[in-house]
Amino acid sequence: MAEKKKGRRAYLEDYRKNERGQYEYAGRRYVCQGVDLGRRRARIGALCAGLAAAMAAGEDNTDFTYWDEETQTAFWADLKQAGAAFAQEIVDYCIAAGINAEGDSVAACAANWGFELEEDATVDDFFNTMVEQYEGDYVTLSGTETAGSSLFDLMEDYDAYTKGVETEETAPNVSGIERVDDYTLRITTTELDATAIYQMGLPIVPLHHYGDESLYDYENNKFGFEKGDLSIVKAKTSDPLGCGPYIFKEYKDGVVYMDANPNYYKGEPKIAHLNYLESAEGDKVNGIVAGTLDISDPSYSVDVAKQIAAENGYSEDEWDKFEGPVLTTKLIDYLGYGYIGINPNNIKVGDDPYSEESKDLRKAIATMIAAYRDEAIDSYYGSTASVINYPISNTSWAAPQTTDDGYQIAYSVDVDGNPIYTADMTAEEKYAAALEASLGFFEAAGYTVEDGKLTEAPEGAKLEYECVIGAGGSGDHPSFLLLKNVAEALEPVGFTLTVTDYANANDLYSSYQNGIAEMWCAAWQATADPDMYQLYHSEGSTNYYQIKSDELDELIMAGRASTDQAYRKSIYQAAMEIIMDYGVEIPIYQRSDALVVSSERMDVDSLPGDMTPYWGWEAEKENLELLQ
Amino acid sequence: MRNYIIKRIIFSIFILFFVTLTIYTLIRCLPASYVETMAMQLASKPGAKPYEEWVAQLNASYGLDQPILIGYFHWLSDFAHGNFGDSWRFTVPVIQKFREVIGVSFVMGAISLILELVIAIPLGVVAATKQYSKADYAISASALVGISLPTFFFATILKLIFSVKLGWFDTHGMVGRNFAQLDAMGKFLDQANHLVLPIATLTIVSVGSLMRYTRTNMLEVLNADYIRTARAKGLSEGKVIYHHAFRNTLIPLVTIVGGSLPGLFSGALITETLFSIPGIGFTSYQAMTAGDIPFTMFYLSFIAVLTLAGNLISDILYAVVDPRVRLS
Repeated sequence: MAEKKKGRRAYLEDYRKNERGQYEYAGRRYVCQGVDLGRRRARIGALCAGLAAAMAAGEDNTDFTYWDEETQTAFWADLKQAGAAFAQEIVDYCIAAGINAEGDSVAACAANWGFELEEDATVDDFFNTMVEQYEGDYVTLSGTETAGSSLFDLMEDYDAYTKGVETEETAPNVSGIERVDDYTLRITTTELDATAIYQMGLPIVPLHHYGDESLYDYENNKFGFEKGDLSIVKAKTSDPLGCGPYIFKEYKDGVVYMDANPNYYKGEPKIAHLNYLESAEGDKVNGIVAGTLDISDPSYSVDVAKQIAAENGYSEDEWDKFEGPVLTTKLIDYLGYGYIGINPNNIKVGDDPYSEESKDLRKAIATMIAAYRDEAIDSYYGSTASVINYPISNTSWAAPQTTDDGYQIAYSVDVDGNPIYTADMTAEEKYAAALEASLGFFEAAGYTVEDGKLTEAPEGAKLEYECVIGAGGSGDHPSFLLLKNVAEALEPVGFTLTVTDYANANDLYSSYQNGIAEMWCAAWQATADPDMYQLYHSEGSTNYYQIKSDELDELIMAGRASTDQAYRKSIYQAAMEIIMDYGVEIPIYQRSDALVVSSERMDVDSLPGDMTPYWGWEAEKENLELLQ
Repeated sequence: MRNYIIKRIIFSIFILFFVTLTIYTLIRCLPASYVETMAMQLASKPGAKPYEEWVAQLNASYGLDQPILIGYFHWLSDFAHGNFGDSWRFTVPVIQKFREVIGVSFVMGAISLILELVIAIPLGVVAATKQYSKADYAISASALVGISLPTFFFATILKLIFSVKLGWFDTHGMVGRNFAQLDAMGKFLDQANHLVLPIATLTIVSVGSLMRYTRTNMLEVLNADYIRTARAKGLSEGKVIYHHAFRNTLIPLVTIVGGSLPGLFSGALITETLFSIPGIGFTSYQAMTAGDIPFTMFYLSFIAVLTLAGNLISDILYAVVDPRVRLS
């Protein structure tokens, strides 16, 4: 059978029927204390509680405490006609897609959809059969069987049933959410989760925008709207808020026009009008020089730095002078880091990707890559980027520091655990030492090494591997030179490293996310919290390294269960040691983002003093000033 | 004539069918995939489904799980019914986006075409009447320079000189920083200012070929017997050139110009992109790089229709201006 179309109503997907036939929210949770559970219980859904409650009550419900009979009758009639349309859409799809021939019966189409029906069955029968098979779970049915439209999209008066209803005792407020003062909110969680606070990136909306001030009386549990009626809020979900320092005016001709908000709680911004102009990368620096732009964020590299220096009247050698008469550059660490990944299922010895031999093979390659990082990163970024030694952004509080116990250069010990490098080595001596250490790892992995050359690979391993990189097809990537140098260094010893440069980034993504790539170059964008679950846990959704380690999983879960930074940092350092031992990720660089402003038109001192990835120039837009 | 036009239109429909089929096939095979990019973004979110699952789901949602031929016929059916769909990149109906951006492209194209005619034809005539003179060499050399300069290179040079070095114009964009605060006349002048460099680019890179075409045709006509006869009659040189020769030179020129009229609506992809002018060219570039199939299909089909219409107009105009030609 052909693959079915799946259009879904995302928020409805998050509701699941439980054993008691009630609908429960099963989506992502923000862990907070729901209600005063000791005395009261309430189930008031934010969006579709009415719909869920009506479905849970069933068509034969005779309890009209919360809605009247007329509404119930209308609801089920609407749902049934939607069901018939839903089934008809499947039939139409089967015919249109060529799965069934024109004129085939509903039963014939249903058969290809996985449902057995009588030959003279109608679309109503088809839908009823689906309902029976899903045991009345309309939400799952809709999400799974759809041929395009959600069942609920096909209802004619869906909105009429989405109003919140009280099905049991009501709660006057959510006790875990407290107003402390005009600008402070306290949320109490029911359990400890170090990442919870970062999941609460909630936009702040002033009362005058979202509600009715006459309906606000916090002490008496009135919050600016009639309880159970969120229509006033919903009506504004697609409106620009206008509660920040600037109010959106319009978007036209590639420009977003913003006007200063006179009611901004930190005070009216000093610049009356702020425009965001769509700009190509190549126009960002030139645009400031020409007076088209005042602030810009070009992709920073040594070439851009030299262009900025030239505009300021400096020589190329003075590219690291960040303040000049025309342009001023502010560097901010990028919230993320670049790395080279190795898929253990594709680079291994024998059948076991996690055996010591497999790890040694990967460490042999990683040792060479680690050795050549300094030259490549310096060439591409100069001193505005640094080589990192752990798979974590330097902007994180959990990033190991050189002064920490046990801190060491990535892949800087040989197969016996002895340091490869000494402090007085020249670059050439370091490369030679790295190659020697790499051969040691190859030998430990089972490779045959004769006269300093690899002559034979063990079973399951090869003498040549490929690394894919998204360098635009032109080698424009900080790791491109690095890989080329490593390939050249390994070629004389009989090991071929092929570097494939994809012009289309999607090819790169799919190659390593599908598990096809042997090695790949990419960058992670970090989150504020150093939680490693998504990347390295066995169940992590983007664990492209395919690490399956119980020990690592336990450490990651332990890190989540504490808010003690020192403890968590030690946990994550231990976790990173395991990751490095698997030889699946070589940390490469921590680069900087650049903010370039016009020294001629902007008051540079009005920018935030110490910008970070979490607090950029826009965080204090209200303070920006132009020179007169 | 009527039969000829009907026959040409029928042929054009066939050609359009194969052109759109080819375009659709190529777009479906392009590496730039809107769905893959979207899937990548969605899969990167904390707790998200894997990339592959997103790709499968989005492919199904956007109808890309169907074979190319079936997908094409679905598109063709919608297209024939005037349903161009919603742009994936701009999240508005394709036709709405088209209406928003076509105006500036038309204005740029029209002004550029007028300037092209005003510059190329007189200079071409002068070059022909003064063949092998200094003026002829200067005009021919300028024309060659114009023809040889790639648009992106010439536009970059203009930006460097007139924007970055001299500061006379903004480097990019269609409006200035204070546009919203200007009155109607101020807004008009501001936009006109921002169109100077793009129009100059369009005009200069295309004026050369028309100039050379005019010169060649004029030379051909000047060597014709009836020109010799006109001179033998004792007519003034001005009368010979501008009354007899020039009018006959116009015959092929009219077909060229007529054929380029539909091009006014197709925009200038490179120039608009380089100057960030939100016209149909720049918009279609954004759509193509994002893998926006509905908008790209609409735009390229639109171009195909314009091209076919342009060819038809050229042929008809040829018959209109030259009584010796009769189409059947």
